Formats: sequence, structure tokens, C-alpha cells
Amino acid sequence: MAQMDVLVAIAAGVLMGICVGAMPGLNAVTGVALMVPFTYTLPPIVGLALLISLYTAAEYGGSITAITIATPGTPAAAMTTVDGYPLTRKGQTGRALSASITSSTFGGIFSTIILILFSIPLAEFAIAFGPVEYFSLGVFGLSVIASLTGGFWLKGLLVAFIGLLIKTVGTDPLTGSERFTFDLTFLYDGIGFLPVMLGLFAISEIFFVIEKGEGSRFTGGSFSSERMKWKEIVGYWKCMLRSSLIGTLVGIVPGAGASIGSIIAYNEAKRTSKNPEEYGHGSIEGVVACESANNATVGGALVPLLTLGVPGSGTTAVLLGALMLQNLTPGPFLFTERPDIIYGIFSVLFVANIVMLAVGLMGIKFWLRVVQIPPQILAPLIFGVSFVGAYSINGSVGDVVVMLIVGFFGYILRKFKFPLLPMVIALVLGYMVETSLRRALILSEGSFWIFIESPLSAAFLLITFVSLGWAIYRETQSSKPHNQENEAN
Amino acid sequence: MRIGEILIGVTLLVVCVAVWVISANFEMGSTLVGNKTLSPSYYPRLLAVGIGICAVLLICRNLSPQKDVEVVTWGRSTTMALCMGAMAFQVISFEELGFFPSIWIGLTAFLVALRVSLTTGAMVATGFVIFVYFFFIRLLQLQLPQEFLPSVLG
Repeated sequence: MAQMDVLVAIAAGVLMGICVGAMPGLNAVTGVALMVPFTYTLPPIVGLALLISLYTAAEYGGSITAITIATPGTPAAAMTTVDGYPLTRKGQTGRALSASITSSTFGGIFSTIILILFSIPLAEFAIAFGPVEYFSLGVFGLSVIASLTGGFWLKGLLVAFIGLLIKTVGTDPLTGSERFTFDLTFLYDGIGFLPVMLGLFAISEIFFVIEKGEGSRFTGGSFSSERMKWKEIVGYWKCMLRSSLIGTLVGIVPGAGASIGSIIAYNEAKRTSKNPEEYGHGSIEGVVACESANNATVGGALVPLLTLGVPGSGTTAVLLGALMLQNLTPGPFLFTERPDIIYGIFSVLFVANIVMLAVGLMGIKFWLRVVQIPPQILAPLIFGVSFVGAYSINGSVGDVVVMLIVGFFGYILRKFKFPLLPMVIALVLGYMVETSLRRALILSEGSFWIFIESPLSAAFLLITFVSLGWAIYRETQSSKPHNQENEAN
Repeated sequence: MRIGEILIGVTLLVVCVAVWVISANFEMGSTLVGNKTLSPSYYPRLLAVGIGICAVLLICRNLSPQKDVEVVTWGRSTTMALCMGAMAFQVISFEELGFFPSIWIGLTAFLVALRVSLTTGAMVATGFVIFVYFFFIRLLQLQLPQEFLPSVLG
């Protein structure tokens, strides 16, 4: 009977997680936080099954709207938009969605296996990260920009600087002084990632619909419900494996998260791909890389939580609260004192991923109907959802205003063929790069040698230079700049 | 496109100068004066320099003779103005009129501006408002403004 309760909780968590992930403005943290009060009276494993399933499915859910309507439901799904939406415009929504759900499931199960086998040694890896290592990890992430400018180097670099500058708005994390807030209270906490994402992807797209009318965006004529065949999916095993490993490792690092995981995985997939020119224009491999990585961060994020009691992300912090409400204290003692809970969590992660796969595959037909709504009706509806989503982040119209300004700004930039992806990456990494750079320089009293003295940091920087050199080499091999219209999407 | 990009470059140069000037007024914090790496203006100024260099390069590149200059075209300006008006209405009236009237009126206007018939527009807007009510407000218990004219009626 208890097992049936757990299964029902998993199914409910998966369904809610997909809905929460697909809705812009809502994400795993919000979903899990909303559900915690309802789990208080449930047996511990049933409550945890609901929350963990929701967390897992929300990471996948973000990709649905990213692929179908260019509106990433979660920040981590922003990279999925890059190749997912061009696939929709080619009429291959079914293939993109099936690639997304299968690779998400693979990533989730892979990270669960890693969690079971290596959680204790990996926890030591997590605590080895200080400001020096964080800065090098951030720089490594920023090196992705080199391969995403589509030949427009100068414009890409400019846009990346603007993204980094936008991230400095708000209260300075080290001194507490206000920067570029202009006495506007909604700017004190900085400019949120999600309003900017919604602006860059959804609102700028809406402006194109308004300008060009029917036959422009959010449309592509016929949409194929054809899914990818299993044999075809298996062909991407290397990409899935590599991306899942990256996602798991990034997930383990406190504060890094799914967005950074998918950026790094995408870059590595493009760098090692046989067809890098397809990236940004509708590459299944690109979708597979992002989705494997961002779902693999779930298992990774649970490593420091369960082994050390250290929450590495907002969602795991809420999960920590939920565990403590049930009188469970995460850490080494949980493994010896309550192995039933630990093994229960491992089992839940497996089952939740399988249920997510079934629900995700069944849901493809429904999402295909959404993309077939005429663009002149779909565009205002997307605006409405984005509006409510941006408002619900902080209950502030300020976030909606930011979304609209960024959307218009993104529309103008795209008209002049500026790539927007460097800005997305800069926004994800900006905070980490600045705070860790300044903290590291405080430690070293201004000496930059500190970044080479740490072996882990030196390794990251070395990989960055190799990765950059390779990207520059491949870019110079390509004759013409790619079409920015596709690149931006 | 050449003039457009030059204008973007000039605008960014202005932004870069503004960042430099504004960041001079950032509070340092009592224990941090004298250590430049700690200053809140250190990083924004670094970025301002980067933006400035890129903006100058962008301007220079567009001032030099180019072969294939692609012309940027702007279409349906009246529709664009009407749709932006509908968006602005929703932003301005959202907290004052409350969620239901604001979104319903704004969305209907937006749809009509995109040449959807008034009847269809009103029906779609009604359906959307009902969806948001049940999903966001009832199920997820999100706080959306529901009071009508709170500043007038109290």
C-alpha cells in the first residue's frame, strides 16, 4: 500500500513538475516550495517522492515551451531554445520533443547511478571549490561565446559585455552598495535572469510576428508528429553520455546549476561534433546535449545535499527544509541511521525518470497542437503567459517592464544581426565571474597568479584555452558568417 | 545597415561613458577604501572599457567602405504601435485595474490589433483569463492583483 502511495506521489510530482517547468516564471524552486506544506503530513518517503519527482520533471518541462514557442520555461532551457525552436520552424517539433524527453531521462538516470555509486568521493570534489575555482569555471563557461557568434565576432563580444554589465545592476554582493539602481526598489535585487530570457526569446519573437504578420514566426506550415526512432536516439549515445557527465559534475558544484551545465555541455557537444555547422540552425544533437546535461544536474545537486547536508541550489535548499520538517538531517549520519530514506530517494529518482519519459512521450501530440495555433493568436497568448510569469517572480510590474524593454532591445539587435546567445551566457555566468574574481583577488592581494596556483583552476583555464583555440580554428575554417536569424533562435 | 550600426556604436559609447561616470559615485564601504580590487566600480568599469573598445571598432568598421551593405527594413509600423499600446496598457493598468480587467482588455486589444476579429479576440482573452485563474491563482496560489482601483476605492 505504501508503495502505491509512493507511485501516486511520483506520478503527481511528474505531472506538476512538467506544468511548472513549462510555465515561464515558474521553476523547480517555486514548484517544490509550493508543495512542501502539503508533504508535512505525509510519510517521509511519500512526501520526498512528490518533491523529488517534481524537481526532476520541472527540469525537463522547461524544454517543451523552449522548443515549441521559443519561450524557455526555465533558465536552464534557454540553451535548448537555440536548436529546439529552429527544429520547430522546420516542422520537426515531434523529433525535437522526443529527443528532449529521451535525453532528459537518460541524463536523470545517469546522474542517479553516479549519485548511488560515487556520492561520498564526489562530495569532496564539491567542497574543493573556492572563489579561484569558481572564477575559472565561469571563464570556461564564457569561452562558449567564441563558438556561438556565428562569425559575427565583434558583435558577439559586444553583446556579451552588455550581458555582463546588466548583471552588475543591483546591490553589490561584496560591499552592499547600490549599483545602477537609480533608486528604483525593484532593481535592488538586480535584474532577474528570467525576465531577460523572456524578453530576448519570447518578446523579441512577438515583435517579429507583429511586424511581418502571418507566415513569419511561431509558424512553419505543417508540423510533423513523427518522433525519433529508438535506433536514431541510440546514435547520440556519446553526446548523451558526455553531456550527462558534465551535467552531473556541474550539478555537484554548489551554486553552479543546470543553466551552466547545459551551456558547457552544448559547447563541448559542438566542439566535438561531426556537424558543428548545424548547431544553432536546428541540430538534434544540440537539443540532446542541453537536455541530458540539465536533467543530470538533479542527481548531481543531491550529492552535497545528502552527503554533507549542503544545499547547492535553490531547489535543494527547499528540499533540505522539507527533509528537516520530517525530522531528517541530511549528512553522513543519514546514510547509517536512515538507509530506508536514502535508498528510497534513489529508487524514486529512477522511477520518476521513467514516469517522466512515459508522460513526456504521450504529451508530444498535445504540444504539437499548441504550435499549430495561428501566430496572430499565439503571439498575444505567449505575451500574456510571459507577462504573468515575469510578474509572479517577485510580484512586481518592474520585472514586466524589464522584460518588455529587453524584448524590444533584443528585437532591434536581431534586426541588425547581433547574436543574442552571448548575452544569455554572460547573464548566466556574470554574477559568478564577478564575485569569484573579486574574492580571489582579495585573497591574493591583487595577484592574478592565484588562478594558476590552484590545480583545479589551472586545469579549467587550460581547457578554456584549448577550447577557445579549437573554436577559433573551426570558425576561421568556415567561409561565411552564418545567418543570424537562425543563430539568434 | 551601416548608419544603424554606427548609431548603435555611438549609443554604446555614451552608455560606456555613463557607466564610468555613474560608477564613480558608488559607495565603497568603510573598511574597503584603498583596495581597488574591492571597489564596487572595479568590475563595471572593466566592462565599460570592453564595451567602449568594441563600440569604437564597430563604428570604424562601418565607416570604412563595404561591398554588400544589407538594408534593414521595418514593416507594419501602425500595427506595431497599436500592439505596443496594448502591451503598455496592461503594464500600466495591471495593479490598478486588477488582473482580470487589465489582461482581458489588453489581450483583446492586442488580438484585434493583429487583425483577429473582435468576437474571436474576446473569446480567446476570456479563455486565457480563466486558464490563468485556475492554474496560477487557484492551483499554484500565486498572488496576482485582484483588487479593482485600490488607490481610489481603498
